Amino acid sequence: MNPRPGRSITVQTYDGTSIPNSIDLDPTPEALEAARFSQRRSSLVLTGLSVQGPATGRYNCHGLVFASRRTNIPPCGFTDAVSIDDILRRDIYQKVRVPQLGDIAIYRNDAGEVDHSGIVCRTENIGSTGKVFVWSKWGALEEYEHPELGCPYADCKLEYWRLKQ
Amino acid sequence: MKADIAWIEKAVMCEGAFLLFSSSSATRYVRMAKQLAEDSALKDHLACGAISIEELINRARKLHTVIASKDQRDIEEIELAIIMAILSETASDQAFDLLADFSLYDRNSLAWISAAARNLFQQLAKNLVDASIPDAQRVPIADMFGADGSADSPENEMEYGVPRFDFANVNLVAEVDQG
Repeated sequence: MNPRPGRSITVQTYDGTSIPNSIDLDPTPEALEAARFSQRRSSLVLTGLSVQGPATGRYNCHGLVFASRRTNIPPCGFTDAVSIDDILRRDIYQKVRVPQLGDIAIYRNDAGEVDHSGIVCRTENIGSTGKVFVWSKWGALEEYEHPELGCPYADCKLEYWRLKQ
Repeated sequence: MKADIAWIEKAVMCEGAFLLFSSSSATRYVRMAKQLAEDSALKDHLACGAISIEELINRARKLHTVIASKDQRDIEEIELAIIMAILSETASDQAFDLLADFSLYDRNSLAWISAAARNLFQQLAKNLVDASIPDAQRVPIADMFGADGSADSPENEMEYGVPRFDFANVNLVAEVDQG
């Protein structure tokens, strides 16, 4: 059980700006069981994803990428509290065209907002075609290694960001 | 409708568990809830009169109370999010009040529901003051002038139940301040 949910921890960008965050409640086993029966999830399993970590409300996708699995960014339910683009800028990332291991994958919706993020964990070249695998946490659900668009955020546009050299 | 079992089909509840619990932002959460509302038969039941808005609101309040008492995120959250998405598309005053009420709760187990209520409340068409020109044009031109020919006679304050358009004191679109 998550001790004292709702609390926040100190997280800062590279330039010292605080990042609002919160640790959320865990989902119940019944809710997770329901999610496992989702047809959308079942169809994604066929694309070759693999579970890498347990479901928890302790951290979300941005918490995995920017806070070492310690918290949810933004605080649960407060989207406006944090701009992921601002974090990328303050942490001095730059957008790149060709992804490589360790890059950050950013999934941007039609409105230009960041819906999801993950870390590039594997790239494969099959002939002239490159295949990219991303490691990410799906909200309060599990951590997965998945093909870049083999996730619930495939309706978003995908970008890759790398620390500026 | 029975009150002790979910009003949403099991398949939609499973999709809801996956789509809502995999959301990391309130905007995505609400987008998914609206998508699930479209997939659910509950919306059709409301449209054809098999269920009333009052029944939906009572169900929403009951689920809200159940969720408030929990210390984990459970499946009641899915049903409530979908019902809120359905209610947000009605023009009901009760639905408006319900979303305004739910948006104010500050409790861990209700964090996502409160955020969704705030987001849906902001999106309600009712929150926008329609100041479009066509309403003003509904007043026949001849009636725009009083017996003395002046344009601001008291007897012409109302026409067809629509207040006379006041060009001097209107913002094109004014959103209700939610404090």
